[in-house]
Amino acid sequence: MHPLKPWLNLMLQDKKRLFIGAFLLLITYLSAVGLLALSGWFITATGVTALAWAAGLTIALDIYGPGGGIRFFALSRTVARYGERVYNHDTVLRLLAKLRTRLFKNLTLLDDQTAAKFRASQWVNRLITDVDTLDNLYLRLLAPPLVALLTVIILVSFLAFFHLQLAGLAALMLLLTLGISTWGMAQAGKAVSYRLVAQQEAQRSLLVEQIEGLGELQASHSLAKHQEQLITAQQTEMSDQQRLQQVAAWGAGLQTLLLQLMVAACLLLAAEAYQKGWLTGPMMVLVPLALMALQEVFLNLPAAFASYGATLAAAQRLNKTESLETHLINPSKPQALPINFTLRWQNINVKLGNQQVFNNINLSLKPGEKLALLGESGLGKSTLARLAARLSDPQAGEMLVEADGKQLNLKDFSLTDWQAQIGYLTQQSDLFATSIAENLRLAKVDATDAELWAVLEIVDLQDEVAAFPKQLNTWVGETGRQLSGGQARRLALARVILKDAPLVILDEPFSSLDLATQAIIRPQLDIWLKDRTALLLAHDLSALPHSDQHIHLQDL
Amino acid sequence: MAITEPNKARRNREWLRHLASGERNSLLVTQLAGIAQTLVIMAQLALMAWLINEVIVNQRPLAEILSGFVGLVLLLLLRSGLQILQDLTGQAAANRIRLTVRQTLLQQLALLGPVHLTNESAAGLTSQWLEQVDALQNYFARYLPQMTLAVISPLFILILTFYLDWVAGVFLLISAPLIPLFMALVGMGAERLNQQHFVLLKRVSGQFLDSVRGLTSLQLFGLSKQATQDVASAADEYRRINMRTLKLAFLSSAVLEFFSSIAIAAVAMYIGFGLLGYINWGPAADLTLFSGLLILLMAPEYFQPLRVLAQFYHDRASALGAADSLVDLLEVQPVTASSSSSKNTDSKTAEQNSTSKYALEAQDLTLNYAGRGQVLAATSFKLAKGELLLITGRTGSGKSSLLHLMAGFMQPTSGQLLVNGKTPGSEPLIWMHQQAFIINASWADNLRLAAPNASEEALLKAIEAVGLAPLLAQQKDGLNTLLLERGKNLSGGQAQRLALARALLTPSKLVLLDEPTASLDARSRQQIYATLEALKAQGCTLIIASHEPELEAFADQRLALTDQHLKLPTGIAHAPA
Repeated sequence: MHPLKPWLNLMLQDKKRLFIGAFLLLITYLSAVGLLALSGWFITATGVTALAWAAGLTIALDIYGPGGGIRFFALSRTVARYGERVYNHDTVLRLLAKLRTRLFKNLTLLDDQTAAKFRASQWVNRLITDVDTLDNLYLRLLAPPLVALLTVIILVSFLAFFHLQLAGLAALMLLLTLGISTWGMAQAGKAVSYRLVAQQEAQRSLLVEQIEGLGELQASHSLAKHQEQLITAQQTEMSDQQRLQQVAAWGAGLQTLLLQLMVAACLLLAAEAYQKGWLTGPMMVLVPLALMALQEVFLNLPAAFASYGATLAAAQRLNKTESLETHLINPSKPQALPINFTLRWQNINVKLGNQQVFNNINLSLKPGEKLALLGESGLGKSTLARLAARLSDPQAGEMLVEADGKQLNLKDFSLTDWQAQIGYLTQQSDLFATSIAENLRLAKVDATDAELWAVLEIVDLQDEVAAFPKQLNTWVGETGRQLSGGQARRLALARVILKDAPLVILDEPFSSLDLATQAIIRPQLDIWLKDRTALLLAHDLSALPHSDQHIHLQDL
Repeated sequence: MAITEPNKARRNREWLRHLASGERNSLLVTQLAGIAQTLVIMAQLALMAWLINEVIVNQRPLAEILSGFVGLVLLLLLRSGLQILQDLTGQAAANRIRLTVRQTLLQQLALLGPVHLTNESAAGLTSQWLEQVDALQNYFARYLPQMTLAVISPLFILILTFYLDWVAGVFLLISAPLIPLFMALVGMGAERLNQQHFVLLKRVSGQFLDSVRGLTSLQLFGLSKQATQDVASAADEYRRINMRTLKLAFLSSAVLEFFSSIAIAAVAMYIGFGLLGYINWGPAADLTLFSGLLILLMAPEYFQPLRVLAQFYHDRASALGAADSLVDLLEVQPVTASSSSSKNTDSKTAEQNSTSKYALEAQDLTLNYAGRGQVLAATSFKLAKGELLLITGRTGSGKSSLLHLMAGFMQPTSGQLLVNGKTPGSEPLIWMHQQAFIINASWADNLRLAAPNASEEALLKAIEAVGLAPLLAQQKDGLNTLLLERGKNLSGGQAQRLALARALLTPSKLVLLDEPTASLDARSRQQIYATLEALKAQGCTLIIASHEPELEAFADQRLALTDQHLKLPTGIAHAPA
């Protein structure tokens, strides 16, 4: 399938808007041709009439018809042009906004492992630059050449009434020009403009890397080298851009030459026809002038088609994004969630990369139980927790929910319903580039300030936040870097507490926390966990709140 | 939305002008090619009018005037050539300007340093570096040269028209000045809208990046729908702002089209009536088919440079919008001067003390942080080379900030700090952040990040030292195996050990570690301690901010930071150097 096809189909969903837009464009083009052609005809007609009068002949010349026509074309050109531009851009921008939302929605439905197939900066590039590139598709690549072709057909058919040979020559040269300015330019610029998109993305990744690793790079004095790498990438891109600019410039120059040569040739033919008496004087002038006005119709084609490859590449990359699918199955008829249940890991196998970490694991978590899983990093503790939160599904074995003597598979529940029951503190504290309050309110959108302070108190963060000049409105920086590691950890913990879920998973809750802080938080966390079911993960018991039972992973 | 004050707008324009002055010659060639093109077009049109006149009025046979057609073809070749020349020189000049701007921006980012950049969004800055700088391209390549052409080219046509028929000339003359007037009115709004556009683009980029990174959290908190709605409204706002900018741009060109169409129509009518002899005053009686046709043919060309300028006016607005935020970024002063700027000023001190036996000398060091108040209270201490300093204290007590000072990312508010007798940051050192910095590249690329020339052997040795050798052995492609962004396919401990391995590859003798073992299990921690001891044995000075009690056994000195006060070192068994 052609990479552009899905996007063309998407556009064609609103055929009416496209046709109205194309119609407005046609009126614009025809008005431009009409204005110049009719003016030329009119002036020549008056000139010829004046000559005839001077020779003593009495010929009648209707000056009001053509005069009105000229005024009409003058006005319709302006109005249609403005209307066409506003209307068509509006159509396309609406489409792009819809497209952006759709792509983002697809992204939110992906499991994190699938989403990680692209870097974060690549995702941003898809959603911003690639989608923007698609606006070329209708505004520059589709509508203008098609409407130009239509204009050519109308004009040539009109001319054919008067001079078949001339119309044939004009048609031949116009189609040749149109072909060079579209297909030819696309071919000439395809490889380069295709490359450009990838180059830009590579630069974006490099720069994000440089900004985020600035500390590491600057301290080790390797920033200059990294900058050099970026500048080299930039120079490569620039030389490709230059090549593309050359293609576009030569294309535009060639187009001017071909069009004007056609005008000159048709003038010659028209003059010959005039002398043979096949054409009147005014018609002889109308022909080259009408053709000359086509320059405006063809104007932007070469540059637009020179970067056809960029649109193609963007479409291909977006197609790749669209084809990603989550590994997680969401049942069409989900089961109702029981209130008290035992969660069971049954015959679970876990692989990390190519490494088999668990074989036939069996675990269970009863209602109200606090189960600690202990083990060194890299053993797959987090993987077991991820299975419980359905961030991923087991490759072998099953996750089961037992209630009232019935056994249900975790996959039979709605994904969102299930995850709504779970408060999960992941190993990395995912904070968003916004305020402390906004970060907390992710867990509970309508939480009051008092509620926020209450959860901050449980994690012993309230005094520190109160000491910030902006308090709850303190900006936490990108990925929480404005806070210290320990502060970020406690904020992430506070957020989980605020969610108030019955099943809690805490993965290394006290990492980056000093012993004094741990000692303050532990009893408060014990109270909070009292009526909840909890899965607690750490390297040893000392780094966890109270648990009823603990299992060393090595022993499984 | 910040409204640009007049002097800020002037600042932006001056910056653009300054950039253009570096490419004065290329831009001049561009303009001359454009002017020459106008002259050639005038000659072409005159030749066409003459040919028509000869055929219709003078009834000359085609064979006699065939040389006219040959001349026409030659003029057309010249015209196309000039068009290509104008295009290429303009674009090339603009390319060079963009390269310069990008280099300047990179330098500025480095100058601002890592501490300042935590306030900024990486995606936002990247979008400035890419999209906003790209927005300058057409300003220099097209708009600037066209500014000149829009004045000079019509002037030539006007002169010839006046020569042919001054009444037709007056028609053209009065319609032209109205155009820039209207365009300026429209353009003022466009500039502001463009600034909004870039601010919004930066915000949307940041929002996307954040959502992509926090995807798991969004899902766990059941916020996927909410986030999609946020993105939908941001995308819609982006569309509306875009549309408003475009509408203004279209309006300015519509104004132009209107005047040019009306003027062409008026000239056509005037000439027509003049030829018929209906106009009994002025020069109308002298009109011929040749002069009439030539005036008519030139009328669209008279407006063409202005129409092109109107098309490019959008380029100007984009460039000014981009310039606003770029100059803002370039004018940011580091809150406390960063290492690279202070390097030169303090070189004298550096030389004097280069033989210092101390790795660290701090005297009355204090640090105040914008928005966080005092982070460090006055402190003094000394650390001999080859020693291990353990900085302890509650989280938020300023441990990281002290490391920032030592790395030279910030300068103290008062007091003095010397590293190996020199200004902090003047020598390469190893820095490890709280979060392991892992890029989406191979193991080897990740390790070479701070030591680009490290041999494969050295890489393997470093991996062995941090206890990752068994993991590497399982990788399909060995050192060339790809790691995912932020080490997502490594466990937390593995990622940190990998980042530590990177530190082993640099020749620096000074290692700054911020919570290196925070999320490691007991066995990995022991491996790291062993690594740290190995480093120390090689003469490295280690400064570790951590609250891991086990580390105290390795420390030569301990610095306990309290929330507001810095206790002087409670040196444990300070071994004499």
